[in-house]
Amino acid sequence: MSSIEKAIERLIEKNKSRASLGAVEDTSSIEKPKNNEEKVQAKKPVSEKIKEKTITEVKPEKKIITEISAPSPDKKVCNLDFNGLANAGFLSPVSSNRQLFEEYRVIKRPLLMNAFGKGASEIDNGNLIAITSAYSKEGKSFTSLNLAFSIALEMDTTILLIDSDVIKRSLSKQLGLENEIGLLDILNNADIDIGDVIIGTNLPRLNIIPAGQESSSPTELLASAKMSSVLTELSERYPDRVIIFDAPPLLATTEASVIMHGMGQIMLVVEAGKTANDAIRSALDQVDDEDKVVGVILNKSRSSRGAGYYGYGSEE
Amino acid sequence: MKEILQQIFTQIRAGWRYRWYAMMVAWLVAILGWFAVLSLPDKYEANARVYVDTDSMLRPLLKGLAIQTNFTQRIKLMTKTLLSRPNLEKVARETDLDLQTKTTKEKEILINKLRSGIKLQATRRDNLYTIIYSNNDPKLAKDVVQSLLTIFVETALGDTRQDSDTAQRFLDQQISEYESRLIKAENKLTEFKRKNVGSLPGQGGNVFQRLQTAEQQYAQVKLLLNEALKKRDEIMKQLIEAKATINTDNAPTTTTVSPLDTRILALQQKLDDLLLKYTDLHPAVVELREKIAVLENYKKKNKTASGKTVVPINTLYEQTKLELGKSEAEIATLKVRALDYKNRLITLQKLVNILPKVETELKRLNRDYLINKQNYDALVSRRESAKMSESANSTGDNVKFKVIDPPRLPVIPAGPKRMLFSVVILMLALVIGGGVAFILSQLNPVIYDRQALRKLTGLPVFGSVSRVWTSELLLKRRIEVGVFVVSGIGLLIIFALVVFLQNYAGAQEMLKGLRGAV
Repeated sequence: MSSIEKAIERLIEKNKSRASLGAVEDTSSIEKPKNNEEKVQAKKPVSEKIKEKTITEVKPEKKIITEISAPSPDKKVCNLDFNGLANAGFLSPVSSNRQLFEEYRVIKRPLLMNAFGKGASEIDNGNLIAITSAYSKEGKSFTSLNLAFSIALEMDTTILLIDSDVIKRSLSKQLGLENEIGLLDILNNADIDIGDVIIGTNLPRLNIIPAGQESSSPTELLASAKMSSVLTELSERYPDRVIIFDAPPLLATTEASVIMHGMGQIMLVVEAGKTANDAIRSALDQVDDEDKVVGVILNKSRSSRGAGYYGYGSEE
Repeated sequence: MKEILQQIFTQIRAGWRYRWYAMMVAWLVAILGWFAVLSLPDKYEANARVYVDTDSMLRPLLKGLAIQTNFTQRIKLMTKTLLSRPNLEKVARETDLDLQTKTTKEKEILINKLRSGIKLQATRRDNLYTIIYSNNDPKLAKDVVQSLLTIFVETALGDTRQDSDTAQRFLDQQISEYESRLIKAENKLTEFKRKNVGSLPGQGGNVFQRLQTAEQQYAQVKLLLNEALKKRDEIMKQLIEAKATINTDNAPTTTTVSPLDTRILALQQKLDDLLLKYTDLHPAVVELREKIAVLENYKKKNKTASGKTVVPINTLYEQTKLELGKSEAEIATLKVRALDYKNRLITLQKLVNILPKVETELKRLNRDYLINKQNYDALVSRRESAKMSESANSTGDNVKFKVIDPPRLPVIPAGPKRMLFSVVILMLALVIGGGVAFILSQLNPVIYDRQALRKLTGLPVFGSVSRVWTSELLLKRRIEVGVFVVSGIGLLIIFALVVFLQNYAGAQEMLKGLRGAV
């Protein structure tokens, strides 16, 4: 991406942010693009339609191309490249990995039960779910996105995925949204409202708030009072939504625990065979709270449990 | 069982995380180890084999004649004492090793080194002994073995000779001592015999018998003497009576027997004697009769001439007187005999008191003499045996040391066993590498399944997500595994190179250079 393109993008975004925000509406249909070249546009034709190709080179082999279109001044919609995500091992709607579907189905059920008070006890802000880990690269973003997909695909629930790992911002990068305004902009700029940064996707019930524009002091922003108020606002404004935070790693930044305060449920992702036992313990020490549901998710396990159970191997 | 297997599998998987550390450590250990092995100096081994032949021809032949020393036992002892300090010092002297040492401590170290380096192997059944020594210097190795071999043979033979000499000297000493004792005993015996001649047993039978005989004889003689005395007294009485008759009665009646009558009577008697032997016609008889006739005639003439008759009383008196003389003589004889018998009896009685003492003394002397003689004889015969043994030994046929393999100058180094060491180091490297991985995994434990996770956290495990193998991840993994395998193979290639360097002749020079540098 050239610097000129970046400049153009920023310009556009500024314009958008100035525009008034309408109610968040679902895009009416699910579009599943067959390949990268064939772009399916959102239904509403827009006069000033700017097409921008964002090629994110996350890994040399896979290129997830997300097209962001501005169907209306009110709402941005990005087209997620489901095939690309599926190839990258994500649980996209086109993924053929049945076992992965099943595994996330198992995880999401208790989460949703807790989120909407169907569990044994009512939980404050139960719909705010933080996905965190001891250190980075243990599968937070993977888990967050997959969980979001899983919930968006199969349940009647709307889901908001927020990339709150503002330093690594791996989720935003993965989806090609690292240049979009997002969480940091809300915190940084009083003029920007939450509604301004929500990006719709080609999966109707999935909305995303990216990490936002890079800031010089992202961790301080996360620890600010504004963050707390944002969390409260989110919880109050969208009580019917499941809001998944791709949270910063607990042991890498001290401010991570601040975010955790506002959460109703905290999932600690543990990478099998990598995350040290000591790290797991100290990470859990930081989130130990009786008001919250704290759980662990084992990632990258070589489970023998699911293998072959559904007629598919766990590996390709 | 299943759980144990699972446990093991889990441990291996945990260790697998640190495979790169393991590989690095293995490389490090192996390279250093092999370098050390290659730079070890060559060791040369010299050996000698000796056969000790204890079954010689002479042995069975001399059985019973000469004294057989137990060579097998002696040699067994020898093998145990060969590595004694004096022997080792001798070896060090002979091989000039001691010239390099200056202090006593250095010498001590040298001796200890020799002791631990020399190997003496013995096969008990075959009497085959092998002396082995290895050193960096082939010549030194050979010299040490040669020197030990010499000591081995010399000591075994020398000991015997010395033993034999000592034994003979002892025997000689004993023999001379016994000889003098024997002579002394002999002298004593002779002296004693000479002193007690007559009272020695075996001369004239038993003393008591002799005493009895003497007593009887004495008694008999006394009886005879008494008889003779009585007889004389009686004759004396008769003589007195006869004298009285002559004196009181007519004296002329007491005729005396004329010498003519006596002569005629004698002749008559003689004639009677002759007639017993001869006939009447024998000339002696005839002559005697003529003589008697002449005398008879003469007597008749004479009778008529004197006119007197011969008085018979006179004849009786003469006869009695004659009897008396005879009796006196007999008495005198008997008296002498009685005295003699008495003396003999007294002597014998004295002897009876001494005799037992003499007899005991004699027995003692005899016994002493015999014992001395026996010992002396035995010693002399032993000495002869010993002499024979010694000469048998000195012929060298009794025990033979056959050097089967004399020590040679080793050309090909016998050690160090680089091949073995290299393999061991390879194994060691792998084990240490694995051990490092294992220890690291133990120090930094991780979890692999939800059960462990639940146990660790005490929190609900919402789910476990399988690793998704994307093609990219797979490729990455394959590359990684490939690199790992290649580095493992690399280690093996270096191992092969090390082995090649050890065995290839051309590489030897290079290695020597390396060792020199080290």
